Amino acid sequence: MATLPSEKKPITLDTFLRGVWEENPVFVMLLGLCPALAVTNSAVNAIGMGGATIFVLLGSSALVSLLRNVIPKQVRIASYIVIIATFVTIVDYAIHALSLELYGALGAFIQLIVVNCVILGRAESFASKHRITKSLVNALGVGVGFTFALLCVGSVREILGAGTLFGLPLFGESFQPWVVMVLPPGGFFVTGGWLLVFAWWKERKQRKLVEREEALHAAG
Amino acid sequence: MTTEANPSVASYSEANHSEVGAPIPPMPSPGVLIRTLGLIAMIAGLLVVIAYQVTDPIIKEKELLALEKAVFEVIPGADEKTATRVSYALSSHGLKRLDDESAADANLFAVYDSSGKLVGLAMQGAAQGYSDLVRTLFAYNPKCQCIDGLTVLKSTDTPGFGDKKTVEHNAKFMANFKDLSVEVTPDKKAIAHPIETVKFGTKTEPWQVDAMSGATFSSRGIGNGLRAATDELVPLIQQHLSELESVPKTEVSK
Repeated sequence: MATLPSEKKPITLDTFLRGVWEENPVFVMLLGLCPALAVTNSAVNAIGMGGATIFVLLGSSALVSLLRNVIPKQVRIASYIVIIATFVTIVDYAIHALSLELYGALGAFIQLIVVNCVILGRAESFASKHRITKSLVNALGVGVGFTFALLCVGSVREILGAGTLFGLPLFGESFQPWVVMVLPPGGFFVTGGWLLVFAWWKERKQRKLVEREEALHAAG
Repeated sequence: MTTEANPSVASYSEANHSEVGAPIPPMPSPGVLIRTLGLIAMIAGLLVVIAYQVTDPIIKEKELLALEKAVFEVIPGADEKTATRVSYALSSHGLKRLDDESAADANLFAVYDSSGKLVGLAMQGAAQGYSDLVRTLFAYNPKCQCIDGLTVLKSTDTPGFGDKKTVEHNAKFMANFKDLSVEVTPDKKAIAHPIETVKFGTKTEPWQVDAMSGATFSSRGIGNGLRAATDELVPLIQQHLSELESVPKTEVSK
């Protein structure tokens, strides 16, 4: 089995963390926004969707990586989609068997994981070029990053829209829920809010970096 | 011309390992493509079938349990510990007792107490609400010929207006289903007054459902589901009442 130069690089913490933070699929790459907006009306749903996505990411990355030298380039998209659809079907059955309630809440969005671009993106740009362990570590990182983003959006929407977190009431009986937050527009509001927070954070970090360099120059 | 001089005839296996942006390698023979896709489809098929085989019995059992729990909850006075539930398929062809395997086809559930006497009957209703079908389970009491309990099984209507939690917490709306008349005509062929859903605050007759304020479509979905189910089943129940009144002696084979 011939190896690519990128395959020889060792697995570092960065292989994992890149997907969680620097290249967070939702907050940085703006990928997979359909489930990020649609099923994040509660923290539990966000975790459920994140877990399902992690499973599909791991499974499809492993299989794509194993078959990377067998799949001709001309039929790779067809192959990846079939592989992804397989794991989505498995996770669909599994969630149905684990919790009818969660299955009811996530509804058609489990099946829609097939067309989540985060997963096809990983298969195309990472798993098809790397060994299986490295692909798995990378897929887990991206999956955790995706779940983290969903949880950020989901908990804010649940707190504001229903006054609860993980189903536990936070504010007592007198709380008047801000219902729009658990409706589709709330998904856009909260995701937009988080994007603003992350953009501000990134800018601040860069400004500090520049200031430090300038200070070094002045001292030198 | 040698192969070294012409990169386009470089073997496929080498070109396949090129980095992104490299020209697409020459087309492998159709046989290779079909074999690869066939292999992937085979792996996919195998995994899907295994997953189905493993999860299917668990899913069936959980759904049955959930239905059982809902039936015991909706029928007033049903004690989950001592009562027994029996599923029936009721149609114009007659009353048929179903075992747990085929309980998914049931349209009537009866609960009997420890001495084998009928406690209550439960049926499912489904009709278009605001965004999708609203599915309910309701209790029918053949003695008062009324509906005396209701739970929402599934509603995807607007949270805060027509979802399961909001509907079930709306005491005023749920009071409709404490004593909703579904009396049959004297010949037991039809319902005397089919259930009607009326605007909030305009209920005057015992067969009317007073809609929720602000959720007329969801209320109508519930009311229409009840109406369709009772129109079809209640006259049949009254015709078969003697068979339903005590727990059937003939055990069905499991």
